[in-house]
Amino acid sequence: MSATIDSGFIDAERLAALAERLGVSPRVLVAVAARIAQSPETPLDEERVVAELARARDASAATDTAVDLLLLGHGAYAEGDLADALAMVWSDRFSSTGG
Amino acid sequence: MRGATLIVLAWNQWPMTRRCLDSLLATDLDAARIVLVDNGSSDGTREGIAAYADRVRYVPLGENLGFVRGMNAGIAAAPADDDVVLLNNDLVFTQSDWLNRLRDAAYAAPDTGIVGCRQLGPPPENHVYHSGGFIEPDDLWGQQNESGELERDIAQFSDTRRVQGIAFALAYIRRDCLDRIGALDPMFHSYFEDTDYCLRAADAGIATVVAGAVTLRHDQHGSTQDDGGFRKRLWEASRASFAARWHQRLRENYRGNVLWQGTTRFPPAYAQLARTLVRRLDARGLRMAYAPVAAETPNPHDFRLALAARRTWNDTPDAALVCAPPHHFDKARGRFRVGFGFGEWDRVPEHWARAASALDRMLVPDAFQAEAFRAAGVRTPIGVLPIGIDRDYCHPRVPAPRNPHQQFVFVAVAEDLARDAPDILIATFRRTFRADEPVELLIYVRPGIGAVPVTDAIAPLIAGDGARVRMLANWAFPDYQRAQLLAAGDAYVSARRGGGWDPLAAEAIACGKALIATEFGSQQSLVKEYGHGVAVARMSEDAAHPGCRWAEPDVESLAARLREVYERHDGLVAKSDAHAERFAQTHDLDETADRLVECLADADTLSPPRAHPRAHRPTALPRPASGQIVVLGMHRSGTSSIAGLLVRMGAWAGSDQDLLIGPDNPKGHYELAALHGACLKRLAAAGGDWAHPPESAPPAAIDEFRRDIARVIDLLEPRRPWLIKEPRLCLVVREILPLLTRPVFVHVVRDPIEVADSLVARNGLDRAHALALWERYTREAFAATQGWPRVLVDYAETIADPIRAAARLHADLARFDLKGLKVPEAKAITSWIEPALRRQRSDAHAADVLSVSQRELVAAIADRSILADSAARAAASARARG
Repeated sequence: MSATIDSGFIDAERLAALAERLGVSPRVLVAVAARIAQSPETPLDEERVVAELARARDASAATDTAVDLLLLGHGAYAEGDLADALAMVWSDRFSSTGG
Repeated sequence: MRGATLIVLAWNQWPMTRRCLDSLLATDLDAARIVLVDNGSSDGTREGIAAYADRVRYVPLGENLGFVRGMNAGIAAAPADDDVVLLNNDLVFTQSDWLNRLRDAAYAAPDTGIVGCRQLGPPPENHVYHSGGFIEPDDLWGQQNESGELERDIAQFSDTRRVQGIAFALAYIRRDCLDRIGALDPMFHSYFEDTDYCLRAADAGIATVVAGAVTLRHDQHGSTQDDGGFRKRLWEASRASFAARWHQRLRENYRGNVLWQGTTRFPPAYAQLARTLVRRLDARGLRMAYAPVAAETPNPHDFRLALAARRTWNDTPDAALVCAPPHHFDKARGRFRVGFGFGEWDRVPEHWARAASALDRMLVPDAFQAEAFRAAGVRTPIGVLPIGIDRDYCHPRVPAPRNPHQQFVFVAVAEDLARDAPDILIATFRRTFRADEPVELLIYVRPGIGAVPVTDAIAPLIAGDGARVRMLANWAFPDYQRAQLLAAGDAYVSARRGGGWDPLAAEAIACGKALIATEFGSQQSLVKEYGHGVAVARMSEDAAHPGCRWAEPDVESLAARLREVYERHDGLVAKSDAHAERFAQTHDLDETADRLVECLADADTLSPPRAHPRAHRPTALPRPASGQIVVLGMHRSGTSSIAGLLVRMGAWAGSDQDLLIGPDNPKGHYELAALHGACLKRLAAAGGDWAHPPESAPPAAIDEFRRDIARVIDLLEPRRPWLIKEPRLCLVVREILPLLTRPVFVHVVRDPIEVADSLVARNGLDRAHALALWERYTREAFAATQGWPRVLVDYAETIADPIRAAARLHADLARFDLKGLKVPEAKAITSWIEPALRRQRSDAHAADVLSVSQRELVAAIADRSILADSAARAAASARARG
């Protein structure tokens, strides 16, 4: 599995550098960040970061898969009728190129 | 005359019943009677129906007896020979020819007994509420569609097809099925009686079909109002009754447990196979379970897959099929382990080959893939399993929004930048077409891991002036709608580097679209035979898989193919539908499923398939022939002679003033002018005539023909036994089966060379044409009457010994208990049939002038095997092989 994150929403270089320092893959780091963000009431100290990293490392396959799903974007799972999409593509409001 | 009794069942809700009747009465109700069974309504139904007294027979019941006994009351009220159509009062008849199209389906095969239709929910959603369903044996949840998913109407299931069961909100039941199975089982009050009926019919060899040509609106549950748990109690009580009769039987139908290990999301091609094949394998007697090879979010709306994912068992599955990228092959866990996969290169990665060694058998979609795996060192036996088209969803009638400016649209799909090379396609497209040409390229970027790189790469390429390119990205749609993507365009372009199986390529052809594809990999042979191939410029290494090579599409060739398809479009469209139909017939996913079952059963870990019951035939019913005789035979075969013989036996051919007498047959044809005219009109309406028979007919032509024939039958009915005779009937007799009451068909046959030479002399046809006509008429006539009472009369034998032939014909007809005929006096026979009538005698030898199939037909007629039931013949030959 690739160790890079291709997304316009994440600064991939900084994430990769931080992950390298912590000894985990960038994907695992994304998962850790998500877990921390999910319970903001819990104090974020070094002990918790280490614990979360260890938990993510232990479940690396599942974590990687979860991040894969996350990175697919909503379009991969939220389905809309194709006829609606085609009607939209051919409407004047849709930006097209050429011609 | 026999027809159909339409039974509408109502319990209160008069406004809904009135809406149903009004829409019903506005349709073409040829040879039909309407009965309204009132299940003890107290809301004014009785008063309301009074206004329909001249058109609807009212059958009031004193109390609400439920669906089953209410419908049975309607069946009892129907004329004894009528077919019946059970109808809910929450139906709205939105199609005028619904009844005739149901008849077409009901009489298309001798073993069909029950016919349903597509049922839609209300607009604007237009969900397909019903298209023929099944009941799963785990929890006995009946499903209304094959996948169990609620789908929008995109003309899916628009062909007639066999199903396990239909909802009796609408059910056309043939009279011979009713005679065999009886009415609905009163063990049920409401619910499950329909599935029970279809399963009992199946046990008797009677098929249930859905007529895809009929679509009606059904406001579900309008006819069984809920009253605080009443409906639920009915359902549970019926389910318990159904379970007692069928639960164990349905479980025992399975041959064993098969685990499908794959994906339902990504990669899409593998996911499509799971969605389309798991249900087909289950329907073929394999108890299918599903396990993903990687974590995924399942689609909860696909009932079949969700059911398969819930299934577990303690032991190792009898067989496992890993249908996923081949590095998953080592996850196979079954007593017999099979993998299906494909790669993008001329040689797959070595770790795939290592994973494949865990399998007992490997399957690939084509010879290219087999070679690519062997090249990587795979030693596991590899079989080729061609993947067919899901014809229920991919055909030329799939609707889709079209470009509002009527521009020519090329459609392409990209999900991986390196493999799919959308950048090359866009650059070539813009180089090929000017901005002012009415053409555009629509690229669908499939959501997934590769979507962002693809979008980032092609966005700059489609900016600025030039031929129009549109991109549809970040939009996922239900898989069943995929053919709409193809239907939205005119051509599908798969000019990729990768050679992996692209399901859309074949589906495009099945949808009547032009295909442009790289001549490499799994698309190579397909595009060479059916599409427009793009040459390979050179082989290159896939950077992500060192040592694995794929094909760089030649941009000059691609440009030429784009231009060629665009400029020849009108010519391509003109023949695309017929082209699509021929392609789909030979690339059918149901055949793929059949072969896959055979493969999975190859190691004998599954039980043998259950024996099918002997197919139902109307001839099997112990009911006497009614006295309606239909004489069938090719022109110049002696049908007039045999008709005359039957008249001398006592059959009525009609009044003299209604019969034709022509100069070529001064003794008379025994052919009714009205029947002759109806046949001429029927063939002409389909664009043909007797010498140029049309392949198919517009539905309106069939309906008009039935009306004409109904008038002919009405003319004859007062005097049974009667006969009709017209050579053209050979081509269209199937269409009048719904109007005939336990008829007997008399096939008159004559040496084909004599027939042909007679046509050459009389009509100036060339002999080959005449022989082809003889074959067509003869084959179609015997095919249409298969399973129905019929006899064969040889013209030459009749001429040689008319007295003996008459006695034999009489004896043959007597086997069907046909009353009112007697063997004529010898003098009457010989004065009618004399050897001189045999005008055409030929010296030609069959071996010199007949084709192989014509000689086979002659042989089948000579030894009378043509009268044998094909199902019985197949069973006999299977037994012989066993």
